[in-house]
Amino acid sequence: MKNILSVKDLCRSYERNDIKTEALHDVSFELKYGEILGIVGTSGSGKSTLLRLISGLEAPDAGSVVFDGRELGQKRALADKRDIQMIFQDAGASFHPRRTIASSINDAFQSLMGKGAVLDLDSLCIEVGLNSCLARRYPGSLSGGQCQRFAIARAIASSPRVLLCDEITSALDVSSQAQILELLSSLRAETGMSMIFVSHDIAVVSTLCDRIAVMRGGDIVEQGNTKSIISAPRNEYTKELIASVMEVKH
Amino acid sequence: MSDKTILSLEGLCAGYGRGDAISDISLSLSTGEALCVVGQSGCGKSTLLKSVIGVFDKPVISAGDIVFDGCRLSELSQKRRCALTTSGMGFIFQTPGAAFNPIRSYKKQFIETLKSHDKYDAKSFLPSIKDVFSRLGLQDCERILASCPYEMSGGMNQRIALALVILMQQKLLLADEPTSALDAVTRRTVADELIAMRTDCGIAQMIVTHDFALASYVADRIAVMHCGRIVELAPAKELVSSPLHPYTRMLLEAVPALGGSIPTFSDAPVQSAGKLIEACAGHFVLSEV
Repeated sequence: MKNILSVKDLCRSYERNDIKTEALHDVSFELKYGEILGIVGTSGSGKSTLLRLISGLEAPDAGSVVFDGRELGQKRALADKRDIQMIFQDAGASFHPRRTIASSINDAFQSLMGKGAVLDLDSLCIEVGLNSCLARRYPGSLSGGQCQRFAIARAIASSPRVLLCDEITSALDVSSQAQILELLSSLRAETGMSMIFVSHDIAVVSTLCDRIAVMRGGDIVEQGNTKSIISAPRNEYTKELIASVMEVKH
Repeated sequence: MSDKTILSLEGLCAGYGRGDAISDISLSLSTGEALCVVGQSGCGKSTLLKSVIGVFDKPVISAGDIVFDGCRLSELSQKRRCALTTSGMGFIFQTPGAAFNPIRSYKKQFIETLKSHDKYDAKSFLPSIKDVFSRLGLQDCERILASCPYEMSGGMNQRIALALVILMQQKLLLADEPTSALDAVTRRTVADELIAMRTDCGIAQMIVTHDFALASYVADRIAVMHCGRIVELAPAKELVSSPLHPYTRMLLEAVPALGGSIPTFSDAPVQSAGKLIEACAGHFVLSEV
């Protein structure tokens, strides 16, 4: 299977009060067409920075992001922006609090597809399993799970080829989390969309993803297919992560 | 009420003025026991916790009563209620940073809090904090004490708030999603410390969470809430191995298992009316009567 995305030797550091912190250190991996790659690690391991660099929200200090055979620069063409979409943890905060969900989604859609492009909000709502009446409401009057579904709707409105998900189920309860995971899985099955799913919860990642990359301190310490990472982890940190999972013992 | 009972709720109904958010909640908690209240967002878990705290952002109790440490809370003045609550109950909130003054060092806030409850001893202060911090996986005690809460992550604040509860040696810990801001490894450390708190120090715990895995790990008993009612209450192991209420089964199916398939959750309506009856010893389930 060919790669839709290749990340090569990405580096990124931040400087604050003359103290330099290396957030990402020579990170490389590939994402295949139609694949869901999970990235797990603790807070501060560089997961979110990695997604911000891939999406073009930030520029790397070194390294490259190759999408569909082309290297992407910091200034992205509209088509590339359409193709790589990102969803954030706090979906409520990602919508304008004083505008309806429908107008926020429509704005995002028009900025990507051009003014005058017509959004079929009803079928978009059906796709994410929500009643389109809810889109006339403000984000503050919706639950976390509903907001997150609308954030997914906004991201998939432009039919992207890669979806970047940054801790998108972490703030949700188990019921909403299960529904979001099901939604992502069916989206992939229907559209063949590739996804990078970042989470600190290896149990959640293991249910959805084909492959897992484990990050620590700005490095990928281990990557492989989900089954082998879970059943035969090699890295000590991966072993520690797996051992710390608390499971419901039926 | 048995001698060991530290908290009992008797048919508690409470809300915020537009009807009750929780209704007919009856349960009791013994010294050294951990009870987890599990349910979806909006089911009334946090309202239940705030009703017990009763100091700030408090719901209006429309019926029923709370008995804490032998005192019937409805019979106390607000001032005495406040004194009893702050001396006997410790709290950990979902956003623990908000419980501290963000621009005051932890050291000053710890000393202030301990002094106000006559629990400050200058000699043992540092050694006991070091001990508690290391148990919670917090390294570099002196640096943390010199820092201010705004400089710390949510996970750090959550553990520091837990440390203060341990130092205060309170009788009851009330916690709202105490591990939500933590990664898997730290979450396990904190869960182990919660268990140690009740087994070593006898601190009773009422923990509100949507995390069934945490609940089944730390709790002696689990209460499942739906639409403001307790739909099932049973010893933790029994509740997860033989759930009786359909809603409990639905929630359990939504829990992701390591290496398992994608969890499912249906929005099918479930019954949340009726009476809590004892189906077998210690296992209560909501049934239509």
